[in-house]
Amino acid sequence: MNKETRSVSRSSVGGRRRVASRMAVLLSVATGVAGFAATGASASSAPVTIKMFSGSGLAKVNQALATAFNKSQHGVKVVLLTVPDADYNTALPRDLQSSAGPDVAAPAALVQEVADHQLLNLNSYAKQYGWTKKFSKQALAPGRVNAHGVIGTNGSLYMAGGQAGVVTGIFYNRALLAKLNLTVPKTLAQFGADLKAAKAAGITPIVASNADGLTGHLFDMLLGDYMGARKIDNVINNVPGSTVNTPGAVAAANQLASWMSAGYFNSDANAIQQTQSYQEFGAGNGLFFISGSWIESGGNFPASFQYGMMPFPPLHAGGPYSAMESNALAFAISAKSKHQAQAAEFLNWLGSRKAAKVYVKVGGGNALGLAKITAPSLSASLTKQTENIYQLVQKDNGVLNWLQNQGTTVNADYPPQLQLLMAGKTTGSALIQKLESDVQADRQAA
Amino acid sequence: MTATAESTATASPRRRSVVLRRYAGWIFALPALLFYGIFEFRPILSALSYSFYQWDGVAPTKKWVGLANYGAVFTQPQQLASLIHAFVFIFFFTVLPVSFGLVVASIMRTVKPGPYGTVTRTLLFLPQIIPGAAAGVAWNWMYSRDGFVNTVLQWVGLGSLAQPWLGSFSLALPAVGFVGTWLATGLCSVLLMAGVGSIDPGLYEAASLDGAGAWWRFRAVTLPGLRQQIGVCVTITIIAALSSFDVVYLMTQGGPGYTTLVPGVEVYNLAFNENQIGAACALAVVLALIVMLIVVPLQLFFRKGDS
Amino acid sequence: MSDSWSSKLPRYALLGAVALYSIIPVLSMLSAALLPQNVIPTGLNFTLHPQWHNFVDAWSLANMSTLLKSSVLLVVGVVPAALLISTLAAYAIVILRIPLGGIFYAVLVLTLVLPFEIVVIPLYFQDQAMGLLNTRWGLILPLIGLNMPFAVFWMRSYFLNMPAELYEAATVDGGSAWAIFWKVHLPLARPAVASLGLLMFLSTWNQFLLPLVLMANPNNWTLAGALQTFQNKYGTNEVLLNAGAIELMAPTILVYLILQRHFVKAMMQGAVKG
Repeated sequence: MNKETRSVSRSSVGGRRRVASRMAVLLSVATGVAGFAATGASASSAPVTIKMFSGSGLAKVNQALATAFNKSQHGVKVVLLTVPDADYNTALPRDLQSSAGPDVAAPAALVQEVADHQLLNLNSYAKQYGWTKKFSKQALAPGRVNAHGVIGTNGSLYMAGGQAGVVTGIFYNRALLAKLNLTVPKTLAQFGADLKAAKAAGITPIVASNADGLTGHLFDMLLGDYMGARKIDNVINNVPGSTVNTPGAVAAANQLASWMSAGYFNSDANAIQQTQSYQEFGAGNGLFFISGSWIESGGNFPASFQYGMMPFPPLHAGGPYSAMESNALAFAISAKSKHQAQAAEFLNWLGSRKAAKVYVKVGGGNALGLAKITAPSLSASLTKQTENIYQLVQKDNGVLNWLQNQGTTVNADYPPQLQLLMAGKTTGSALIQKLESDVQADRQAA
Repeated sequence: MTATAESTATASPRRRSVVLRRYAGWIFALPALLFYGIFEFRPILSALSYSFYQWDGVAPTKKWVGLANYGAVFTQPQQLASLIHAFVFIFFFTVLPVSFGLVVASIMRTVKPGPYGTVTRTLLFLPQIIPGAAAGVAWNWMYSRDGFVNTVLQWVGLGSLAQPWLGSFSLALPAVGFVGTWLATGLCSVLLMAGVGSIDPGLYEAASLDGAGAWWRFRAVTLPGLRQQIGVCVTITIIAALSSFDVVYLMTQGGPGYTTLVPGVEVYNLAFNENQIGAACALAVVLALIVMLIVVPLQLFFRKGDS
Repeated sequence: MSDSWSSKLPRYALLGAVALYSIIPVLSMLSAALLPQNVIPTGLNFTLHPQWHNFVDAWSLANMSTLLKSSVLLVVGVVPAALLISTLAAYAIVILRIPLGGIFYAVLVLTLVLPFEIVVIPLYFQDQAMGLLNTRWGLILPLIGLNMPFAVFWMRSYFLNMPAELYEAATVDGGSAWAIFWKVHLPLARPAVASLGLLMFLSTWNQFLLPLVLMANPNNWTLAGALQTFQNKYGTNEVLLNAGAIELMAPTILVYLILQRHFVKAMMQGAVKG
């Protein structure tokens, strides 16, 4: 459902089969033992049960994390409660009001939830467990919120855990790329030329779904190129005076609009959802697919389909790579939780190497430091390419956030605005104006 | 059952008893009054008061904004557009189903009672029974690029018309609206069939003797005879059109662009996706007032001439 | 009316078409639900190898056993109570002609036009204040209240069509208001009550928003929201979505087929008048 695009940033990978049955068993166990929950974690007494909320798209990887944690710990047991992704934002704000709700959850709207005192201030746990020493300032910054609703290094910590996630970029059909004799584009202009070449050869340059507004992945990366990753960050983090109404942002929107009007997308993009777009790309009906590494697992493409991933090109040759990366291992603790200490123990475990490995294995995402950084190559395996891009972007300090994550209003307007742009019914600058007014509305509401 | 004891004990004088009984009758209505008052009327009053605040639905404090939320309803293009789409839906939810229903009822009048009629009636009403969530799935699927509608168009050689319906800025609204037609036709048909059944057959015979054809029999006998039933159909379906939510939400969420956005979806989005409770309540209040402005005169119009 | 085949055929053809139009979307759904799970279905495409197992998979994937229990408890808690309460109220308003009954009715009917979504948040805070949050009663009691406007509207129009002499005669015979209701009016109103029961069952069965907001534990949500499980932010399982949708509507169709006799009868007797 398109209103959920924004939570993609917290996301990793969509495993959606075979989870629920296992979960149902776990849940019945959970409800059975919840009554015995006691403080303290001595091995002799029944374990303390903490409830973890998971959107359905992340249920598989979160379940794997919970299972691994439950195996290695004594006295604390994590059970998963799965919420359909489409209902996550509806349910969470009020579920956080009650101890019957989650102990651990990924925030739906971090700043708003902090302002409403729904999330536990983790400063003392950060000290207790040494998170501030273990992780870099930048790594913890997305979980910090100050008294003015600004996310960044100087706030209190509300979201913590590990450091691993997915990365966005350009997926390509290996056979078609070879046929067109194309290489990894070094600049945005070169990428534009590749699109043109594909079109001229009668190949759909980009397969995308836009009924759910997923051309937003491309738009966000264009914003990264034209506006710079840190400037986007400031907008999303509500840094006073930051604005999306910049010449760079307008140039990014105009670039996207020009590719749309040039016919570089499948003609039914506005009508289809991502599942159909997977089908199209997997059937070989297009050269590029712009998305994130979460698409690599979950059986989205036929096993025989050969595709690779390359980094989104910088604006100028040699410029920094930028792309969206999520952190799927960072969570918040409900202020109403009755087992905050145990929940913090779980968060601490999520920061372990073991948790990162579980995530990489089941979630298909990436963690830092697992491989050496090399120059992008077309011949490497998809896994190697993805791993490399994840680290390239980190090295260039180019980690972007999805602009939708700034707030609920801008999130709600993303799909329809991109649909209007695709249909040529709005202009790049009108789109940016609209997003800017949404950003301001969200800031005013917070 | 104190009412019973009391009312039977005071058998005479009769008048006093009747008045007493009338008051005692409230004991029968009291449970409904309590449930309605506590669980619907009071929440409605709360919602009305929320409409003057800016509030996320969670924070302990609300910010008074006066009529600003109401101003937004009429100045924000997408909220205004959603109201206009609701009116377009009246054509699909009301005009088409009532017309179809009249045709079906006129034809059914001439069909002898039997299993054929029962089966047809049962099937016609079926869409009304299907949960909105399932209907949304079914029709999303019907309209998809490889779905039934396009498949049929290709079968009959109109493949050039095949297209992704729900992605079209001009056709998505009628496409979604037609699902409303599908939903409401059964209800209207059954209600109108019931009405036709109660029309004196002698009127039709008299009209036939006067030489009236089928069309004139319909104009002179059926239509006037169904005034009340048409009134009910129109009222129920207009309310359904103006407050439509689930089908649109499940099919397009208001897209592409804002072309299928209706007030019900916008209210839901504002309240539960954007956490703007005040704005959601203001839009809902405006919507309710509009529905009342339309439905109350209609009721009076269709009642006129009754007893 | 002539009975020749030439005049009958077009009628029957038209009605057949209308019936087809009602069920095509359902058939289309069924055809999609039986395909192998890794394909994206196209059109009306009945497979030679129907995958009946899809229904089992959809059921377990969406945790439907648990959600079914919540849905059933809700229906059992709401429908009979709401039926009784609304029928009594309509009886009081129409037959007993209680003072101010007309005003009560007018207020009830005016709330029919309000979008239901706006009472959800107020109900949350009310449940919280009453200590009902996260309890089944916190859902059942509001749903009974929310059913009142339409239910009283439905039953009132039915009682309006009952001859007034019925009550007068029964009173003269010495019946109490309760006895007359129980022995005279209620039995006569059976089709109307049955059809109202069907409609209430449907609206309660379809309820997903209220549990979503009022219950913090997803296991207490209802079957109507289960379809969302097949559409997550990484894609949609079209086949299982269709299978799940059929499972969601199967009970409603069953109840309809059982009650439809009453339903049509109620309509024919003029249950609904403005």
